[in-house]
Amino acid sequence: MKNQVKRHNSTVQLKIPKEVTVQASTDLREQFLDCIADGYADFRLDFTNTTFLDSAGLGVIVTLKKRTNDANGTVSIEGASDSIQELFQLTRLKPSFQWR
Amino acid sequence: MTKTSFVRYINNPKEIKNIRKDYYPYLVEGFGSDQLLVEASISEAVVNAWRHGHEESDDRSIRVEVNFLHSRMVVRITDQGEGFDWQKYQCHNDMRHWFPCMEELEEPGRGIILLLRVMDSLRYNKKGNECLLMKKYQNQG
Repeated sequence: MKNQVKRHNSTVQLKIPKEVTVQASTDLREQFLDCIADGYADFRLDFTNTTFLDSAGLGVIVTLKKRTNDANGTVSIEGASDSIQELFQLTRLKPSFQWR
Repeated sequence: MTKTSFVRYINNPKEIKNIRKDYYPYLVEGFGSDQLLVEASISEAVVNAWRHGHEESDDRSIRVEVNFLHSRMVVRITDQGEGFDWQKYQCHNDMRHWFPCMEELEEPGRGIILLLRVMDSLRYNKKGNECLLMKKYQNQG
């Protein structure tokens, strides 16, 4: 199942699914790589509805971050719950992203 | 917390989404908003068993045992692999406070740091094919 993606100018807005399971992580990775291949470098990830994310999901987001770094792009995260933010904090990923 | 146990067998980490429905309410009861971190840790241990124990094959099953005791949760993840020499990887408790920078942080390293940070205890059996996770409930200090 594909996630909701909106593309504006150079920015991609993507709604992260409720549960980022192993399968959902694979789908997300494909979507990110498709967008990067199309030349997009700035991403806004909406975590408003997300209640489950593990290190496989984090891995996909780190991959996105590394790819956008190569293109001088940015990754911002909005709507993340305290738990999601703590997951990023515990794995020391939080400072690498812009938080809204 | 009422004592409850679940034992489930899965062949691929994708099946976690089918069994997590069973233990999710107990995670919320025991850990409140921290349930996400605990679930992510259980998921990590299952992925490790599949990846390293079964070399990403779906031919063998992974046993997932989740026990909700009065004051703590105990999880055992058992694979049918040959095990690994975990004693080589033993680290001091201060590993919990050690963080590499993102550029060094590939997925396996991130997973083990998550387990060490979230769980009160992380142990392996002697063979190295069974992982035991323990964590006290939120109100147990």
